[in-house]
Order: sequence, then C-alpha cells, then structure tokens
Amino acid sequence: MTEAHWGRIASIIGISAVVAWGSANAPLGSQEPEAFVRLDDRERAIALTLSPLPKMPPQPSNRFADNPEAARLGQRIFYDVRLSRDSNRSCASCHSPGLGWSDGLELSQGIAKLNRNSPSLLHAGYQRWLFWDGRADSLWSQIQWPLEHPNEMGFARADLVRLIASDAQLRTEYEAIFGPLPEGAHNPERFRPGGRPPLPAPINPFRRAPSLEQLAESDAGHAAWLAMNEQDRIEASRVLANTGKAIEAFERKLVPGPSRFDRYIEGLRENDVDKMSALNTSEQRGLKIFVGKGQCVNCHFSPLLSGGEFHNIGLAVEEGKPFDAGRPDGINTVQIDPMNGRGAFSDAQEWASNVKLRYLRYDEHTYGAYKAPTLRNAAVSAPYMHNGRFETLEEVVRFYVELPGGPPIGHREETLLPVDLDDAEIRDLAAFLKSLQGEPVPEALRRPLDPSRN
Amino acid sequence: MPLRSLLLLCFLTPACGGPDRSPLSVTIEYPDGGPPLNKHFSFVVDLQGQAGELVDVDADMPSHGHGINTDPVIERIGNERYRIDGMLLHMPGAWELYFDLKGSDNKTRRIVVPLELAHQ
Repeated sequence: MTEAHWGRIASIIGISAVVAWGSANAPLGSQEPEAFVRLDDRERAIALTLSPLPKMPPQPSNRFADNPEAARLGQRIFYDVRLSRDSNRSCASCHSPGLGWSDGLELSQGIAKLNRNSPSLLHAGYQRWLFWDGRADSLWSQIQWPLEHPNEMGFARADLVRLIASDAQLRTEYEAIFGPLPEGAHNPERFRPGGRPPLPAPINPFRRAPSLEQLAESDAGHAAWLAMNEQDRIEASRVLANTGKAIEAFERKLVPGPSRFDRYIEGLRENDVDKMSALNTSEQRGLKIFVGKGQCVNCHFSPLLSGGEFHNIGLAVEEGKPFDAGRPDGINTVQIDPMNGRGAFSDAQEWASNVKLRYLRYDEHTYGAYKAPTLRNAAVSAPYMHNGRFETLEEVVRFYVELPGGPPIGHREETLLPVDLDDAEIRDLAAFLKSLQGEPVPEALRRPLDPSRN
Repeated sequence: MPLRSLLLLCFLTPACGGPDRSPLSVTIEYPDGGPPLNKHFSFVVDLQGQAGELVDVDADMPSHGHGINTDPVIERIGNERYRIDGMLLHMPGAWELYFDLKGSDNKTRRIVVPLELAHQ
C-alpha cells in the first residue's frame, strides 16, 4: 500500500472523527439560565439540523408548478364540489384547512369508507412520493386517485372536460394557462359521462386478467371510456393532467411559517437565549429524547422531519380492518402508471429528471412498510398512522416505547426496539412534537376563491 | 463533476476474500461533500488491482434488517474503474456497501465497505 493510500485512510479517520463527535461543549452564553436543557456536543450538532425548512424543491415534471395563475386555478378547483359524482365533496373534504388539511377521521370517508387515514397536505410539495404507499411520484399525477376512485370522489376525466368547458370562468382560466380545451369538449357523445380508464394497477400473476369487454361490463365508467375515440381519450387525460398540475401549484403553497422549534434552533445557533425560550423546558427535554435515546431521528430526520421513504414499524391491524400490503403495491403501481414522470403528460420525461423512478427497486422487505410522514404540524392532523390507529401524539409515542404486537405482513425494522421512557418523558416527547406546529398558511389559501373575482 | 477520492478497507466476510484470504480494498470516489444522506447519487469505484469484474453493487443496514430502495446501475468507464448510478442511502446510520466481483474462475467475491452516514 502506498503512502498516498495511507494518507487517504488517515483522512477518512479524521473525517469520521469530526462527523461522529463534532466540536465539544461550546458555551451557550454567559447568561445561560438553568432552565435550558443542554444537548451537547455543540447542542447535538445543532439538533441534527432539523431546521430551517429549505425552500420548495423544483418540480420539473410540472412546468406550471410555480405559476401563480395555475395556483389560483388549482385553488378554485380544490374547493369545487362539482368534481365529485354526488356533487357533494371536493379535495377539501378529506383535506380540510380547519383539520390540519386532513379530515380528523380514523379512516377517510369518500363516497364510501376508505382504507387509510387522510394525510395532511401541509408540506406535500416536499414529498418524493405521494400516498402512504408512495404509488404516485408527483402531486399532479396523484389527482387521478381521489378524483376517479369510485369510493372517493367518483368523478371521471371525461366529466372534467365537460365541466371546465361549461364554466366560463374555469374555461377562461384553464385556456389562458394550458391552451384550448379539446374540440368537442362540450359534447357528451365525445366526452362520455363517467368516462375514465381503470386506475393503474399492477398485474396480479395469480389472477387471470379480465378481457376489456369483461371489465367494461363490471365498470360503467370504463365502458364509457372504451366508447370514446382514442384521440378524445388522450385529450381527456391531458385535461386531467393539466388540472392536476394546477392543483399541484396550489398545494405547493401550503407551507406553514416557522414553528417555535425553528425559532429555538435559530437561537441555539446564535447563542440567543431569547429565541431559545421559544421552547419550554418540557419541550426541550422532549427534543433531547427525539435526537437522543428515542432514536426518532432514524426515520424522522432532515428539516422535514421525515426521510420520505418507507418503514415497517410493526403496527398491528385491528380486527375487521382490511389487509394492506403497503409499499410493494405502491412500487408496482407507480412504475406502470401512465401519468408518472416518464409518461406522456409529464413535462420532463427524460430519465435524468426521473431518477427516483429509474432506479426504484421492488423489494420484499418493503411489505408492511408505509411512508414516514413529516412531523411538522402533526399536532393538528390527528388521528395518526396509515390506519388512523392513534388519536393523540402521546399514544403514538407510547406505541414506540412499548412496541406491542407485530405487523400483519413483513417484519418490523430491527432497529426498532422498545425505548425506556417513563410517563413524564413520554409527555415531554409529545410536547416537543407539538412545538413543530408552524404559523398557519395564509388565510387566503384556506377558503375557496371568491367566484366573482378573477 | 469534481470528485473526492477516498480509500476504504473492506471487512472479510465468509462470502468474501480470494483463495489467499488477503484483505480486499477498493477506492471509492464520492461526489464532493461525501455520500449524501437520502439523495440519489453517483460515484466511481476503482478496483485497485482486484482481479475480476464488478457485477453487482448493493447496500444494507445490518442493524435495521433492510437494504436500499434502489437498484444501482454499473457502467464500466475504464480498465478497473466503474461508475455507479442510482445509489440512495435513505437513512442515517451504519451502512455496508457491497461490491461483488466475478473472477475468471466464475466465482464471485464480495467486498464489504462499512460506511457511517451522519445527519447532514
């Protein structure tokens, strides 16, 4: 081995030492009140840089993602109950601004009862994958699921074309952004009532695939879709994708302002005790557990307090609840979804803009795994977990302390071991989680646009 | 893209090591700043005289019981040099990177490179 090689090894050892141990015990400041909970080393590397939240990442598959006109149209559509089969529910029904942009229910309620808890839309623009199983790779492409699933809004893209065509305001705003609606957009003979394709679904090798005719018999929306000509089907899908892009532009604005925790971290960096006072002693003790013996930061790291990937935490399923495979279904679905980032309606179809799809691996270890949600603003989006199992953050923390039961499928990640926390520490950790609530998004986004105003 | 060269020793595992059981090593050239946390990245591996062809790259978190969520792609860019695309280390903590080399005897040897990924 050459001297150069040994030099490199020495460098690595040096780098590792710095990374592992950081700088030692810097003073907090001459006026340190005893009330402050010390985390050191250098306040646990400034609380493992969980703050501040960075600016919204770019979204190349939607060139309207940051277009203000698109966001305004998206907001108009987001609150519009006409986009449901019963004209009684909008996106805001399951993602209500007053309920943490969720719905407060254990399992969401669309036209029928759904299988999972409604995730909050706050910070959704930061997510790598959408849904608990990550079956969509963008906010714009995910729209097809709530809009067209018969148990959710039960609408159809062909109806969407005719709705936009028949509403002068929607049509004007849509066409100003995306160009003309397709020819014959008013015509129910062209854009047939209920017309939509089946939702993307991976092929089940253990079940014989039904013929198109059989599918059409059991699914009137699919039958209407097959009765449309191919060009109109493409155009209807384009209108759906564009509508999704407008909604995405709106949803990217749903980012709360800084939380008390962010102010505390700012103070920690600056040795500013006034800013650090943003967290009370209980919340600071909770933070110390969060970045320390609680090991919460294994999955809830980075300023989003989530890696956005998928974990099997071993949450048992209550009797009577539906079986749910979790992430594997999401992997298989997003890869064959015609509306994924590689699809015809993406604004960045090349592989370079779709690395998460290109290298995505199907792996059995993801059975029973669900996306780690951001913990920012979790305080206002109860109940918790993919199946809404827990009503309070204290219950969530207690689950991780005790780890009762086991998963219905797959195996719990082996790093998850019961944590030795007493009742007071559980309360402290829950108190810290509540300090992650940021300032509400602007009031103007929390309600439908006034239809009389352009 | 500027690269920083790092030499990392491997552990010998039951599935690792040539007939002479000599220590194996590879040079890994990470992007500037080192391997990123939870971001897709590419890097270069130099076999440093190890006989064989690089046929697979993978990674695991042994203490977690799971690996990576991507399938990295290998591209040969020189005599003993390979570019790896699509690596994603999605959690902080103790990782092991696996480099499988197929020798002229058709046997596969595994080089295991430990990597402690810190919060960033």
